Amino acid sequence: MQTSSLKKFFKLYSKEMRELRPEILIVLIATLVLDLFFYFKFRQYPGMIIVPSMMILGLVVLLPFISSFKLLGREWNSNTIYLLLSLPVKGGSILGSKLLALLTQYFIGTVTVTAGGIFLTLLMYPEPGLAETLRQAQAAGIDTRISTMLSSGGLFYLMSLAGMAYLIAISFFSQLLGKMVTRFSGVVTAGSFLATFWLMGKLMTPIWHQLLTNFSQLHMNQCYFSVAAFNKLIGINTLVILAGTLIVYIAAVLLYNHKIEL
Amino acid sequence: MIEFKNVSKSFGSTMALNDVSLVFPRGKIIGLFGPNGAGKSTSIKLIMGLNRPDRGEISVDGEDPQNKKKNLAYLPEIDHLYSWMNIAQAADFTRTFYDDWDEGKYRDLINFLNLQEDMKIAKISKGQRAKAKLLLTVCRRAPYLLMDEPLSGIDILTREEIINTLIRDYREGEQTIIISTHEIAEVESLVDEVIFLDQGKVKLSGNAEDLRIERNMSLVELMKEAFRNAN
Repeated sequence: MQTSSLKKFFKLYSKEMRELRPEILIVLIATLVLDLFFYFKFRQYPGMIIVPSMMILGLVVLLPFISSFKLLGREWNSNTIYLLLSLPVKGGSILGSKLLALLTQYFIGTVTVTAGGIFLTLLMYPEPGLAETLRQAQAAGIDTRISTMLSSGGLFYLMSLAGMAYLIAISFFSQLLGKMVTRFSGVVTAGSFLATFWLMGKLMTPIWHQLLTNFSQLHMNQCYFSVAAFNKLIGINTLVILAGTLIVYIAAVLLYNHKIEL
Repeated sequence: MIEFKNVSKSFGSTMALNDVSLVFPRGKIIGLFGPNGAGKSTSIKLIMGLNRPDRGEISVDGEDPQNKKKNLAYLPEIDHLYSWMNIAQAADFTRTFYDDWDEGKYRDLINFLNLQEDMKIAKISKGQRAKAKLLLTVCRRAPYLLMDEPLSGIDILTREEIINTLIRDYREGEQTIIISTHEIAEVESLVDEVIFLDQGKVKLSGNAEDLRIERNMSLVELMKEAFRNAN
């Protein structure tokens, strides 16, 4: 019976998730330890609620990016690239499974930090209480409906996910370029990472500039904050980042399929 | 059939293969012999699609090797398995990608080779790792089996087990086995066809039995003579 491409992809993805297990555990444990530490040590300073979440958030954002170098580079260091390249799958599946695993790592990390933050907020929120604060904000004209917060927050989160995918795609592309040379592979990787980042920035900046100009013309004359306009801006930004990610990712897959040799 | 047409491959200033034209006939055990640096591993990697020729053309059953990977089983010289996996996990990983995986053969061979499924790749000896690699390669009913120095650095008892496994499971006429090695004596009795490579060029090739009768020499002696004359 023929094995489906999806099953092959899932097998590769499972392998990558197993490789990322230590980093995921680090985030889970660090969140738990820091949240508990702040709760028991700084209970009397509710202003500190944000501190553990922000500290872990830095780690959560940084780890998938660092892991992207580990996940691909290790295939060469441990000679498992011989196994990967001999498999009857193309670069799209190999790099796609790694990208998806790294985004899963980011997702697990951010969800853990958010959950920890919400839990701390519920436990430590200062007087007059969270519900009362929300009521006061609503009275001041701020839209505090759950649906609004979820839509804006969700879109903002999607943008951060796209940004992470963008960084990982550049990391893959530059590492593969580095693997094409026998000497100074690390220097080539670092140089091509910076060069690709700069080049893509040059390519995407005019688009962003145009979008921001249009956005300002449409919404800056309004004296109140429009959630719909904000969401639209975030949504368009996400699409621009996704387009950039796609370009770099396709370039990385083409490199893997046609230029990578042992 | 695997065919090389005027294939050249270099790595920097080193010419690994120099205008080589070869045919690996189907259904035979072919020995790819030569000293270190002769171009044996490069030839195997080119067939496997892990390298690309600088010049010339390689075809596997008339197609680009990149499109025939599912028909090729590859046993590299280096340890290429994920060290955190145990044998069962490595087998599970491999069987997902190949429709020609033979579960019965796997169960049979794991006993024959004295391996256990819960053995972790990182923690087993070099000989056991060699057997684990062999197990995962020959458990497939692939039309082509490419083995790069399968006996290198392996003790004599394990070598015997590896050779016995190959003899035991070889499907004559159906399967093509290419064994690259510089340890000819060990595989002399196995091979039907031989190709002697030196410094990226074919020094001698032909049917092993015909060469032995024609020159009244063993393959080891033949290789010595071929390379003595070359130098």
